[in-house]
Amino acid sequence: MTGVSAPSLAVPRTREPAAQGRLAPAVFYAVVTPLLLAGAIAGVVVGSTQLDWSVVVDVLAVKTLPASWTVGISVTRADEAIVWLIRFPRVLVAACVGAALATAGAMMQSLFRNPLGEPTLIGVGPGAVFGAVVVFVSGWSSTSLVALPLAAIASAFLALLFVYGIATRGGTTPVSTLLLAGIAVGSFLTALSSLLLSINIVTWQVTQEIVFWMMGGLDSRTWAHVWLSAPFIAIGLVVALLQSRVLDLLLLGEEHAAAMGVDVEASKRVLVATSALLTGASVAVAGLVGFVGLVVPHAVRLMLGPVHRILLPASAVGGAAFLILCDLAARTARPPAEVRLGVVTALCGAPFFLWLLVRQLREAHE
Amino acid sequence: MSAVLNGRDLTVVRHGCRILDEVTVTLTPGVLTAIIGPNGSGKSTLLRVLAGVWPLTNGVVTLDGESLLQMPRREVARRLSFLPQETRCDFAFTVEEIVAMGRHPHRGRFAAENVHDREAVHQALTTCDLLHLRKRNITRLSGGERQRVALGRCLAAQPDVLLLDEPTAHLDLEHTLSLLKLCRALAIRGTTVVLATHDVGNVARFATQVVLLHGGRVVASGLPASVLTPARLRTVFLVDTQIVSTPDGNSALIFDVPSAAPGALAQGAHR
Repeated sequence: MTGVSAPSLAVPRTREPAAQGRLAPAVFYAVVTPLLLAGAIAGVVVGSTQLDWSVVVDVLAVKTLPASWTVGISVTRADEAIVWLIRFPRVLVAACVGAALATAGAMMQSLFRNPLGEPTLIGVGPGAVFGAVVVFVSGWSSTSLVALPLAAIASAFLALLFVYGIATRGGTTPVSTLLLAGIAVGSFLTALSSLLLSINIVTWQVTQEIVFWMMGGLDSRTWAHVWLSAPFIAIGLVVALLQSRVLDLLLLGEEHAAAMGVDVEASKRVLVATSALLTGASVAVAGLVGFVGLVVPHAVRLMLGPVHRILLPASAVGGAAFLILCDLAARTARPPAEVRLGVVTALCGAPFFLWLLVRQLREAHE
Repeated sequence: MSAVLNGRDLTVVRHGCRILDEVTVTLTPGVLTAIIGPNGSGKSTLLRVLAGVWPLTNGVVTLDGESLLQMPRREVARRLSFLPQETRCDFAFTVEEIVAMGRHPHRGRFAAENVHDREAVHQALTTCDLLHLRKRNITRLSGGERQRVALGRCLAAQPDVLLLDEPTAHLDLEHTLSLLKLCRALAIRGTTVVLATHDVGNVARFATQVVLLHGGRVVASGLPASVLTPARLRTVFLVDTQIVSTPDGNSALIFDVPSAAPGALAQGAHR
């Protein structure tokens, strides 16, 4: 060490440190977790057949605890069916789909360095719709419960591979090209879906099914739907979390990330595939539910900041709570009919989003 | 904690255009190297290939004799920090969060920040005069403040080699001089410091080695006094240069556009 005094850019300052304007994650979870649990419980209790809390607790105990612990508890077959076979899986699917869409949205917004990012932008959503329409039109949807979800996931991935293949040259995939190719392929697939629907004379019932599916919904979801989506979504959430530091670095720009030791192209492939997995698995079991992937991560980022280690899990929990509550509203707004879930998410999400936006703009001008 | 960065016959061809043409440079510890040249002369490209973030058409970059492209990226990032020219980020990270990202190559893939990371971040914040701004949202900082944040991120990595692309671009006079002094001090302490810049006047004063690029080729390299001659600057930059003696015994460069041949900018101003 030579005798050089500690070098620094420091010059005298008078400005004081300013507050970050962020919420502590603990405060966020203290508000959102009770909301999530209350929504989940209400989702099981409330419905066309109003159940008592104790019945719900009894059924859940009988179903989840060892038989020797629940000897004295008796539940009717009807109550058991309503709680365990109808309402509980529905709440679980809502939680899974909400968490998946919000996390995938957060990842896409960061990958594209754009707060308007959404998984739909890379052709995944329209790809899933196309697969579903093919299954509906061909009649396979009535032969097997899993045909529709599997076709939706498979065609979402095919669309993604196609988009990625088009946008990649010489081993690099510029995100701007990815975005443009995704939008073009998405529009094309949406048009193909419409074409298939219009040239196939389908029965009113099938048409109604398709339209309902395109507006998103969780009616008659069963345990099969839980098992069809939950494993994929769990894998997607874990991979997303493992990528959180890389996502932080990518927000600074690809050149910065590469200079800090990130294999940028490999990371992009992992991120895009993960968000396609999350989106495909969600669309497969819930149809097209818009706005969750856009509004939830954006709202969470405004509250907690952009660091992904905090943003991704909070988006997942927030997305789950948001979708459980939206589904509750969809079921109870005008019984016995249901409002479509995609309609509720947009009706609730858009005003909330605008409120956040206006608040942010006001703060920026103060 | 010192490293020699060597570039031999570096050639980059993109879209049929030779951006770099057989450039050979040796960057040694203790030396503050300035890469200068007109717009489009290949300064940024040279820094990118030296940092290993751009592919080479031909040639090889070595860090202490080992080929950069053969080394794992994280290993390179631990020893070599590169500050790209574009430092824009629209997401509301705090200053401290950005600077802490500089520790990424040193941290285990899933490891939390340790005491050493925190010390390095604090040191970088202090060095770049950012301590009072550390909780500030970077989207609310001025261009110069952001530039210092980006530099802080590079310093937090505690690299052996520091490559800076126009680090003084948005800085005021005071911070420009502070940054150049900081670079010189880092070089004296054993870091290999390289900066690409348009600030030829200050290069003459602060740099210990100058590489002059023109059309992707090295026109001259060596000590500032031997590279920055009026004749050469006239050929490359199309400006007249006067070398004047300062009262402290040093010399300074004064530039002017040749009066006989006014440039396009001057003609535009008269319109």
